[in-house]
Amino acid sequence: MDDEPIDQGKRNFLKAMIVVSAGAAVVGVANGVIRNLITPAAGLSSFPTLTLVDEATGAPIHTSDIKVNSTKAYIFYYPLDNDPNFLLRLGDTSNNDVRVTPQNVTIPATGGAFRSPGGVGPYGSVVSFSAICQHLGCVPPIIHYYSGGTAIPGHPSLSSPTGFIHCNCHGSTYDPAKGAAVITGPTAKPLPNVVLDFDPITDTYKVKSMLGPTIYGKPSDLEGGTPFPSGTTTTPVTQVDVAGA
Amino acid sequence: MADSKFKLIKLPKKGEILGPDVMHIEELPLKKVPDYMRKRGGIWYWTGALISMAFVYQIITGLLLLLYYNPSEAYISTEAIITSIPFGSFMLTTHLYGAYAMIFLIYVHMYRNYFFGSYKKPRQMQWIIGVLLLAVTIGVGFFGYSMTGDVLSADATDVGRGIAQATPFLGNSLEAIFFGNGTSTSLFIHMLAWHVILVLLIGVLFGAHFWLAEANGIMPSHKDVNHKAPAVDTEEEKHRKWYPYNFGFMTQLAMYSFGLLMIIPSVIALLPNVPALFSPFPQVSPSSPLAAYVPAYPPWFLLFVYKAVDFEMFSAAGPLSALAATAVFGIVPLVYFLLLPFIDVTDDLHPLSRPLVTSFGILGILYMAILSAWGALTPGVQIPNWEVAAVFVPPFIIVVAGVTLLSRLYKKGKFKVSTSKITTSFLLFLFILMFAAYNFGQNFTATLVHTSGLNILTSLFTGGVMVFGAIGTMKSANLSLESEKKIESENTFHLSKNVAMVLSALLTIGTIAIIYLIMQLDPIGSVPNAEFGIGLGFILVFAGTIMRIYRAAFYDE
Repeated sequence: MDDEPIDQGKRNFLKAMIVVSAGAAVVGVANGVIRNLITPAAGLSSFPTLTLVDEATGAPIHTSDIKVNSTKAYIFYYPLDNDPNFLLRLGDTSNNDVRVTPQNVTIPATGGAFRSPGGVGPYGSVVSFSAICQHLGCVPPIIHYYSGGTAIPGHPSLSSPTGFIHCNCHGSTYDPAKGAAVITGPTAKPLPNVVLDFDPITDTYKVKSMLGPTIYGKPSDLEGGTPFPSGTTTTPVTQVDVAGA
Repeated sequence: MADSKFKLIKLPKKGEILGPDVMHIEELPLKKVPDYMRKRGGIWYWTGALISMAFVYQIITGLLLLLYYNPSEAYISTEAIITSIPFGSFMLTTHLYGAYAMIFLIYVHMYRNYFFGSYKKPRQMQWIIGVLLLAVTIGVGFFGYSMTGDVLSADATDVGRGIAQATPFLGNSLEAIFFGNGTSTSLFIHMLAWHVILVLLIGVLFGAHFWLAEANGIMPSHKDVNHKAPAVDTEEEKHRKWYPYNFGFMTQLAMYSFGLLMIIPSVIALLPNVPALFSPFPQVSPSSPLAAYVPAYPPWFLLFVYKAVDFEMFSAAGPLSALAATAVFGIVPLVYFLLLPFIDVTDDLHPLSRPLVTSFGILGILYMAILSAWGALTPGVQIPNWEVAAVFVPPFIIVVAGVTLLSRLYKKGKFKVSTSKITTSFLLFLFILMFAAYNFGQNFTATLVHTSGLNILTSLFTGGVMVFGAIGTMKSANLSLESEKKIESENTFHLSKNVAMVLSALLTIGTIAIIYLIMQLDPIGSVPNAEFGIGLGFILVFAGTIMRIYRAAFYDE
């Protein structure tokens, strides 16, 4: 046999050299392939300031366009083009505006807290929260706003004149009058708060930034989605039918 | 006693845990090959293997690029792959050159088997499938090239659509099948999809081609079968085993070819002012004001058809000119190659026993080289009929007459040429001969059209170079006959085992140094990517060289 193992030690040395050098190549290839596979994050470096506009006309929306205790949900996208948020004008059961004051909101998951900005607008009643449930990411209309006096499924005893945001997926409930604080689980985090800016002269609303927990399912509020095209200055408000609300 | 020696850990003996051949690699049903195929000069027997390596490389890089290519924003996403995806520039530039390598090697593989008569019994189907593989690969290349959405791809796509559209009766359907409904997104989705679908077709055809290659076995040297088909290897049992001998060789070949596929485009990527035809990067977008300055080149492997569109005879066909040129310079040769096993049914293997087939092969290479160079140098310049004739007719007469003459001499036993081994000098002289023949043809015709001292002088010069090339070709062909006997002894590359150890250790240290260096590079950007490609390529070349040293030291190969 011509392949009888002669000089086995020297053979093994050369084999080891082949393994080491091929191993270097494998390291190089793996480095290239794995880092290539990790798709670079797309997003923004800072929060954009966008004016809330009517979806149909493109004109800035005014306070009167937002109905108190609307049976439809007002949704707009911010800070990226696929992050939905609720726009709510809170009122009591007689549809009178209710002022929402800035307050601390605790985050049960971490034990920490953040300062909710409170309501804006002429009556301090317009608030906005991420419309992605912090429990497992359900979106409207499955998570939606139940106005005051509407029964919350599974929680008949819950009642508040300003209503609740409740998710029908797993039953998480948030209080829109208290910075979307957690009322019932399973969620352990409040909804992220959207910071609005009201211009009393023009009666228009601008959206400026986000506060509180990171939007569900994203590495950060500014990443993990499609940014608006550069130069965008507005974000349209759409009305979503809410079944059973 | 050795057994009683204290050991910190007990290393298992070879095969103790996994068994002697846990992968059953020794049972692989792969053909054994004679030793000379693995020795110096043996690369000519592995052109098919090299194509397969390039194909594998293309699939890997192509699938990775698929994660980032966006047909609705073809150009933007291509640019993004280069400028903002980690190692995207490396993947894209080497994918382009992998395609170039594949197409070029297919031509080399085809012509090698053409001149060796490998299309004859029993390999007729293997040949036909091989020709289909060439056609499909060029199709994949066309769609891939068009996917970048740069100005060149837009030009190539327009021409492709024009050719499809001009096809009688089927035009509109063909265009809709391959290019979609006319919207930009539909166009690029179609090109991406066909680029992938045709690769699947390559996979199927390659499977059949490889199976036939294994089933028919290697083609033994012409001398062993007395220059007569069927040329089958009757001595397979005598050859060394596939494992580890061929396994080692294939590993070495894979490392070298992957290494070169990385190094070549990476070096070109770092060079300034690379012509558009060979640039590893896309050109500007078609909407850029700079687009007007980019000559409307097709990929180099389609240049020959591109130039033919400029010919007066085809231009006369108006909107059908591109289709006519494609038919004459693309479809006709393709059909000829496909039908070759039915046209040449003799059992003669020697190229000089089949002078007409050999002449057509030489003319095929010559015309393609001439047309390509012409297309690159004079893009879009109209060529009158007399000039076309001047370029095509003289080489035809010279080559057919020359080969027929050599064939006569060969049949009378007065001229011998070995086909068992092609040497570099033979190819070099052949190239000089062909190039000079082309120039001589032009100069000679020019002399006939306008007789002047300069034209006569240049004709004499190129004629002289042509004779020099012819003599050199014949000499080197004879030389390779003489060296045939020496193959066994001379080409065995034996290396002392101690030298082998030192060399392999040095190379290994080199690979570790390189991997340390390239791991520090920025993963994003074309310049650090090119440096990464060169580094990784050299690591593979070094590792392949250690494999080579191992084979030399322990297998005497």
